[in-house]
Amino acid sequence: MGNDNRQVTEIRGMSLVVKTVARISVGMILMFGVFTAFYGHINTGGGFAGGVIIALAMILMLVSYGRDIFTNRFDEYKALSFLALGVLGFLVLMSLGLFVKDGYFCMNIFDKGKPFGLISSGVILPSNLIVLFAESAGLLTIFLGLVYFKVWKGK
Amino acid sequence: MTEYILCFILFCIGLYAVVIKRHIIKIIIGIGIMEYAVNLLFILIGYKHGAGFPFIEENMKVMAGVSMVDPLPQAIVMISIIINLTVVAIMVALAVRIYEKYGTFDITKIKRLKG
Amino acid sequence: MIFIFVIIPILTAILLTLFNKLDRRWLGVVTSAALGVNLVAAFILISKLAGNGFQPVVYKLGGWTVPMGILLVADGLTAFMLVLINLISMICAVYSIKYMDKFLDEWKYFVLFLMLTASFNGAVLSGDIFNMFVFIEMGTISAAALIAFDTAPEELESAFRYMIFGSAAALFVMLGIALTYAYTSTLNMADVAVSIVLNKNVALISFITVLFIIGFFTKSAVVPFHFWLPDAHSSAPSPVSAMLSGILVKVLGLYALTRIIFNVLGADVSAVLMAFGVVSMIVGGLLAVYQKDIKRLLAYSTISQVGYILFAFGLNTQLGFFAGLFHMFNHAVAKSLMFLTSGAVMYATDERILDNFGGGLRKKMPLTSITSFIGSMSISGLPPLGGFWSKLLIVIAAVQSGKYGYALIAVVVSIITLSYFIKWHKEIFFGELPEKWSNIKESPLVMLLPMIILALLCAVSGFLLLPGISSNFLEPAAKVLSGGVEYGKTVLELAK
Repeated sequence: MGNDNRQVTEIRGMSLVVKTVARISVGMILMFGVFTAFYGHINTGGGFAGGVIIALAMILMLVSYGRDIFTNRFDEYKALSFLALGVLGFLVLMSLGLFVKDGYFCMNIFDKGKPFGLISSGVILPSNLIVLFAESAGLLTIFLGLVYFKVWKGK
Repeated sequence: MTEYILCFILFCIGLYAVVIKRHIIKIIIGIGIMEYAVNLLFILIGYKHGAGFPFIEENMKVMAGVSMVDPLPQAIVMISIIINLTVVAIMVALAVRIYEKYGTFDITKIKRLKG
Repeated sequence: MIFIFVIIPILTAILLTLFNKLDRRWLGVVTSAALGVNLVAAFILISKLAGNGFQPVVYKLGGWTVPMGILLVADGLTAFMLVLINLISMICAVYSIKYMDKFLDEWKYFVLFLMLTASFNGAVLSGDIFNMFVFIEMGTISAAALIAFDTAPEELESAFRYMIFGSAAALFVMLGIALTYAYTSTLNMADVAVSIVLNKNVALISFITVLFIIGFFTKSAVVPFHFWLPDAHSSAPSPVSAMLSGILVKVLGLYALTRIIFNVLGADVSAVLMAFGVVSMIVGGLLAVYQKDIKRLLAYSTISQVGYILFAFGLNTQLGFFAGLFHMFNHAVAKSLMFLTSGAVMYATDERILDNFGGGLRKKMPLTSITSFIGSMSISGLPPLGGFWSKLLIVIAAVQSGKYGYALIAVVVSIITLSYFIKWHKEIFFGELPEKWSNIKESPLVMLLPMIILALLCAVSGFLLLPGISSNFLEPAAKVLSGGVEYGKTVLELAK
């Protein structure tokens, strides 16, 4: 009786428990990744490890909510251009050493600061941040490429 | 000494999986096992008995002769992990496409090119 | 300033990624322009080295010197390889402006092509074993992505097989690097060379040499480990096949092998290299006679010619190294030309099985058939083309070292090479034109111009043996290899 006009919207992703826990913990994972990258010159980690952690946070959202939250806002070409911008920024940072007199390619021209502080040890801090950006974009591109393959096949 | 021999045995187990097994995903896992063995050997080479991690803490006086583990293999293993991540990613992408075109994961049936 | 060989292709690849909606022809023109700049820089490097007596140019990255820093070293062998790599890359990039009409998404192709060239340039320039390993892996991944570019089923299977073999070989090399680090506690090539001369543990050096030989033989497709090559080189698009067969097999396999075994470890492996080289020659030559696919035949011919180069390196004399490097140059130029002409034939007729051709294409495509004839006769060793001189030098070097049997086998395999190339030409170009090919046209000018340039290079490369030119181009490279572990002392002096 009146049931044939109703449309059932398909609920993608995993169950409600998984979605709630993912929503709570993704902020903490992102902050931990940024912390690992910022303190790369003092503590373990650095740009690479921080980038992997941030990409893992995004993959957590992708897996628990289904791919619809990404397909509207982010196709893989956007992620690929973020990766290209990251590599370009890294090359520019490393070329800054050439403009000083008698400079080499990957030379350290920033001030070294006082030891054990946050803003210290020269060019390591900016390069950690740029590698964080590029690395997370790269891993996200790889994962989106694998996930979006099914989307094109379905169309 | 036995640690290094166990690393080689792990490498040979990975090589066995790549050569003998017929399922594509098992071959990819075999390449992963070989990579773990090589990274483990690199880290074990830098170890010294009774040494600490290679960090200088805030109030520590740096004396000559304080023993630290070698930090260079740790940097090299980090780069090696990233390289092998990319290799496994492209192999998995190829495996997904091969399954779509051939319909099977058995590598003895995926032999259209002969000669 | 020698890091620009690596930075210019990577920067162009980044710009092509960001502006990938441009018109298709601009992508190809920008790529060719960037590789042209690289080629001009390679010639400037050779002239600068020649003015200096071919002392290596050492660039310290970041200003940190030897035990702590990474060095970029450009000596005679590096300059030779840089000219070869950038020349063939630029010519293949110009050819692919028109050839990639039939494919989708050309910006991905050009980005991967530039990353492949950047990885080759980086591998020959690095003075550090682990740095060279990273560039080799970068080249393997780019080449695998290019082999599977069209995503036809055979191409995916070939790319997967290439990845398995390539990454297993790289893990063997990594094991060798780990044991080298454990023995000498440094990773710089010059430092390792000097330390091994001071204290030599023969059993460990032999084990490390065996690991490196297994890894690099797989990457350069020497006979027991060659199973990936025919599939990979026949499934790739034609300009990529030319790059793979002309450069990848030589740079990632043979260059890395000789640099590590002769300059860094200083091991004595002549018998092994000669034996495997001769077996490669024979097996590659015999298997090529039975092939029916035009690109698979050329791929087996590559295995045979790599056997010649390996045999020449195994002789371990100055003339042997000179002959091996000269044959490397001739084979790279001629085999790229053959792959480009087979690509032109496939572009015009869409056919690749030898039995379905019927012959007679030289009436419709005269220039293509002339350049193809010059290329194949250069590989077979017909005088006065370039391949004749290099094979003659290999046979003379073999006779001078007393290996008469191996020299005789080299001559016999050369006759077998001539036979399958004559068959190739008879089936495709000579004879009567069947009905179905009556409205094909000659290849477009953008595809013809690279083929004509390569054919001219094949014909005049005998002039590289003249005393004025060979003492600036080939002899310094041979001197670096035959100098052995002296490389270490020279570079350490310059890096102070």
